[in-house]
Amino acid sequence: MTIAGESSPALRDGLAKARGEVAFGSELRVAGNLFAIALRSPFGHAQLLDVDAAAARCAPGVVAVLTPWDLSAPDVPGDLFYDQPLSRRPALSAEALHVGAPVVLLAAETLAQAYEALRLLRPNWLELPGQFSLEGALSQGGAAEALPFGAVHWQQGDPQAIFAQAAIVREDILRTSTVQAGALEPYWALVEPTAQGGFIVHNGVAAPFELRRQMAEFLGLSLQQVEVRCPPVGGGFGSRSDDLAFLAALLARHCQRPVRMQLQRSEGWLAGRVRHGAQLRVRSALTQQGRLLARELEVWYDTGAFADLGPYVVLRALRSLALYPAEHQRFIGHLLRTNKPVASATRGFGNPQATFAVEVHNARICKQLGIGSLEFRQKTAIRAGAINPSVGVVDTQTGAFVPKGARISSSALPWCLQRAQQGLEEAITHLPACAPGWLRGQGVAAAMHTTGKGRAEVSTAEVFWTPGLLRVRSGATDQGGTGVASVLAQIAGQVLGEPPEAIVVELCSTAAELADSGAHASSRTFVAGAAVWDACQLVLARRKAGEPGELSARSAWHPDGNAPPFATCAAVVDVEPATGLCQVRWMGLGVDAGRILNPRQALGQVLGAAMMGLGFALYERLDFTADGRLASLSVADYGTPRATDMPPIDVWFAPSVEESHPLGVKGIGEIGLMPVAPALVNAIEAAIGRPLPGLPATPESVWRACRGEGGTCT
Amino acid sequence: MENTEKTYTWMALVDSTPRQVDLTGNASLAEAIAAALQAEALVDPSKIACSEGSCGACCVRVDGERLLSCLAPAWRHFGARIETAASWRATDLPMRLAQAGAVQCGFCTPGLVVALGDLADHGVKPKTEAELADLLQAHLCRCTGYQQLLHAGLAWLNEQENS
Ligand code: FES
Ligand code: FES
Repeated sequence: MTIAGESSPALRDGLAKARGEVAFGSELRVAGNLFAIALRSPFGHAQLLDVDAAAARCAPGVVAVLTPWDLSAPDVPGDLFYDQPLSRRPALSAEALHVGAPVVLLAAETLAQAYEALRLLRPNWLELPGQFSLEGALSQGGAAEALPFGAVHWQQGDPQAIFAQAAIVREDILRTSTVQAGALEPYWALVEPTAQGGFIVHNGVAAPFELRRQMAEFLGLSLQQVEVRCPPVGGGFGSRSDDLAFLAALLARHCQRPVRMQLQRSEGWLAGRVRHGAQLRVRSALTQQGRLLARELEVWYDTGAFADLGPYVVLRALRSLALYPAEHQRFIGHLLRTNKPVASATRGFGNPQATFAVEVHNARICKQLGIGSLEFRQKTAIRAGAINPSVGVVDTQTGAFVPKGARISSSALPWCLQRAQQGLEEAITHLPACAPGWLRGQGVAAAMHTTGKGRAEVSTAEVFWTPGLLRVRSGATDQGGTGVASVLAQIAGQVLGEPPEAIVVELCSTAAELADSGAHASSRTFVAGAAVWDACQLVLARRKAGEPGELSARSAWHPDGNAPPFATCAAVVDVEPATGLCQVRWMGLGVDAGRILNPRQALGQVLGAAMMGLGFALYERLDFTADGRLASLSVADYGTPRATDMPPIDVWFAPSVEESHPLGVKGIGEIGLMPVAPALVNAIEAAIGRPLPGLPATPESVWRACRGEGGTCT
Repeated sequence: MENTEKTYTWMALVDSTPRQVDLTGNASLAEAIAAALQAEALVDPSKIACSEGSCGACCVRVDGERLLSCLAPAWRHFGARIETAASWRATDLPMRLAQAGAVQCGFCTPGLVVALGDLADHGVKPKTEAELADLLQAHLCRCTGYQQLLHAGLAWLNEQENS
């Protein structure tokens, strides 16, 4: 059977949240918990020579002060890159490799006491030289490569030979900034020792089973001795993978008391994870008529002090190259180390930067050759059935990327392009003319993403049914209202014919042993939804066979492939060349995310992603000083879009079904972000007739471009 | 060091219920309403996000006036009537927002409920979503892109009887 689309009455917990009845992790307390904070490096790179902690240790309420010399803190294991521990990092070190790196941990009975005591610490710092910008790292060549094998690389055919003889060769170099996920809820963790010598870790992570694995290794415990619980999260976007849980665990173990640690929002800019700032070079060889013969994409992603998830993030850039197949292609992905806060997963996972560069490059090609943007993309973009070279594995000895030969299982990209173009034409006729002194531009862009990480995806579900009561238990997490529980209820309810009020959905802690690979890469409906569907089918079969009593079933679902979703964005932007001010007048997104199970939630995901794309395009940037400190710590200065910054946005879902999936779905959470920034920049460039250096397209950057300056873009 | 811990007992009428909070520490006198509310509540309807007055998550109504509670010192509002999102539980506003898709992570929502509720109490009926966006300029939402929120908020405000 197919699951019919329905916008269920509310997100399962939406009403409770709006009534102010939901406690988020940042409000979570357990009896007798201590409050922890860290002394963090004010410098981009420095050595803590020593710290006088005597006064702090005997300050009121202080229970523990841990310096790097007080404990031999094990490394945070980090995720494995395939089987390699490339993201191992010290939990606490006297060498601060980035601004905000923790060097001393402190726990007290109250938060106020912890802050008072923090002020009494007397650190003795030695400031060290460092690499505080991507430009600097680029000039170092190979020395800044963060990966032992250097760049990830892939080649097909002989692009160099084609570049040497083609009629048209165009190269563009573009930049994107380091940005923050900017989730509203501060970052936090709470760790409690148990009577049995284990630990319960409360943390708003996307992948609790992965955190359990790492925490068990970190503390030298068995998996069963660590339980990870995820309370409601005030926005995740992939970024809740900071080290707070590990720091809190060190203190909890030391004090044998529950410890909660929370970042002030301004600390969150420093210690939270960020999106990689990048430089990207795209080079294409074409015929005069615009046929793509060869393309090369080389990217340099700034991973900050540690690799973290960077190796996977940089690989995701391949999607934007794969979207436009050419016989001859080459990808080189560098991950560069700098003394900046650690970059890691952030909604879109390495794809927004590369898609930005490739799509701006495409628009410039079209302009240069006098061909239509829509026509070029319709002709060139990958089609259903074609091999998707961006799915593969990396040889961790050489860095060579080896495609697996996966095929594009479905694509409604042509529909999305057509719809966006039609929407653009309609918008143009309806919009009032632009103000005197302003210029209007139109832009389009396309994108392909992924559903799930394409390897080791799993989700486990248990279903219990008696007439009128349907209980669904899943190991999936909800990273901030993505609607996992609603969609699982919808699937189970439809298969077993129960109304919403008869359905209970439990998103369980790791103790339930319902293994789940995590809420990342737009994948939970695809993976956890299929697990619930499968378990319900088993129950249904037993019901049909006439089995009496409560019927239950369990399913562990491993999806086949990673069904790429597609999207296009069209935009109209007015620009005032005299000031560089830009005003987005309209945006339209065509989205192919397979079958849409919950139209209202899906729309919310796309609109939210589009807003992040707009912030990435026009406003957001973490500014660093020349010595690696953050130039601004305030949320107000950062540039998160407000309601007044948003244009009218139309969203159209393609009538598409992903054949490889039992429910016909593909990922929805990230794809809407990808094409927005290039569509906006293409519109701005069309308006002013000049190239921009990259993101964000601030008034300054646009004003300089209007004057023919290269502009600045950090 | 000798224990010089100071305690400041603060009281307010929070969502019509008298609440007494003991604030400790040398800075307790300067504690903001937001921190005071969170100090003892199991679930506090007002949320703390930026702590600097930039996001609106902590928006509450204090003696009939909308305030960012992360910036308002508790002592200055001793005994005040404080209304959090809980004061609008009996209205249809929470359901309307949830049904419209205006609630994703929901961390911004209680503050927005207070803002919209306060606009309604003042008989404000914006004509367009853009006009409402201006009125909600103090609020950040990182999840929804605002459209479903503005849509639902506009419709709801315009349905309210003038009080
Ligand atoms: S927490 Fe008060 S305005 Fe952000
Ligand atoms: S719903 Fe998450 S910040 Fe608004």
